[in-house]
Amino acid sequence: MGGSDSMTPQEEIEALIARVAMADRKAFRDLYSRTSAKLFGVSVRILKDEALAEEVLQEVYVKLWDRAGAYRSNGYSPMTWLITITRNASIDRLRKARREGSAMAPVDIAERLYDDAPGPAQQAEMRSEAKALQACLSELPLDRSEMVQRVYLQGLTYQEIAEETGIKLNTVRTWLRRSLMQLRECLGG
Amino acid sequence: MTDEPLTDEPGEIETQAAEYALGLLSGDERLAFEARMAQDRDLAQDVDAWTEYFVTLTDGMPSKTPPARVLKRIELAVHGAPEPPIWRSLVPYLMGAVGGALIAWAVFMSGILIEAPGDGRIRADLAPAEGQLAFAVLIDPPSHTVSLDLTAGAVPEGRSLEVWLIPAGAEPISLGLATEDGTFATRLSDAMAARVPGATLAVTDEPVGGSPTGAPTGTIQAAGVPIPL
Repeated sequence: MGGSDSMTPQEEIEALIARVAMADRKAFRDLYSRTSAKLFGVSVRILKDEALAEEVLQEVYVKLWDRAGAYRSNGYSPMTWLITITRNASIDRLRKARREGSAMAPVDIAERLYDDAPGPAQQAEMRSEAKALQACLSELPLDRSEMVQRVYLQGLTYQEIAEETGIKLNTVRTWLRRSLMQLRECLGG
Repeated sequence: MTDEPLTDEPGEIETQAAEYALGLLSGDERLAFEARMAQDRDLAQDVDAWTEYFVTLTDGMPSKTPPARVLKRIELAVHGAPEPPIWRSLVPYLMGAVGGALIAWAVFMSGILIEAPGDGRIRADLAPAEGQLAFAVLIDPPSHTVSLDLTAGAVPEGRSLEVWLIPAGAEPISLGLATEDGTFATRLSDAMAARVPGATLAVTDEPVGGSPTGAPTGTIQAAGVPIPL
């Protein structure tokens, strides 16, 4: 116990995850209270459906309880890990809903992308990874930059991009991969 | 699969790392990539780096507090039953309790029985439970007095410390509030003193003025089980 005053928020969340890995229920509840609003916010924004986002949140935290011990085995920061799990679970739901025809086609939701685009004031406060990604995305042709972002935020598949644009699947893939290579070079990879 | 692997192109595997992080690989391609990633530390680091970049696309998404029912459902799913009343988490302490005797008792905490100082009084420590406070307890059996002094930790700001006696199998009984600096003293009635053996002493932090419900509502800061000698 103790020592929490000198820990960074990131270290505190890591410590909570470590305790959750040991089935510490109180730590689990603390972790939930520290992180659930961000994760719910992300899921609601991706799914545009609060009931589905609640299901995703439940899925994410149940997974977390079962697999908190796996956290150390990757190189992410803890919030990246948690948000990535949440993003992936949300995208799975979104893709499933689209297949079943119960979610809007991706073309109808293109406008959503711009809700979260950072304005000048926000850009000044962005962390370095965010600044670098935005700068490198802006070097891509606009339609490709947008496509990369929609793949991440809306879970677009190559198939869906091909259907939406009327471009052949393999061409779409070649096209997006070139953009990813360009991004990689720009990001210094 | 129409999208067969394009293994000839330069930068192929590096690009796959980005595709993997975006969730664009599926089926066999995904499995093949994961198998390779498990062997290739650089590739795994590539995926980590892409993940760290792409996750920044969520930075601007506003937080939103989920409804309370979500936590209830999650706890039901992972713990199998609704979270029990807070004081029930003291049950493990109660397991060590022994019933029987009357007023002569010591306080047993964390497996350490602390001896009486020799003048008939009993001294013991209440160790941190969920919280981070510790108390020294002084008990004078003939007069039924119990006093606590804060020995470690700081009283949470804007909270009152409430002292509880929890007889085995019964609901917690408030003994009263500690002062702002964490000291507490009370003289128990004969009836109350008779319930002490086998009971748990606990300190919770509560809203200023004490628990609004008459039962503990805050964090269990410290606890211990008195054991009859």
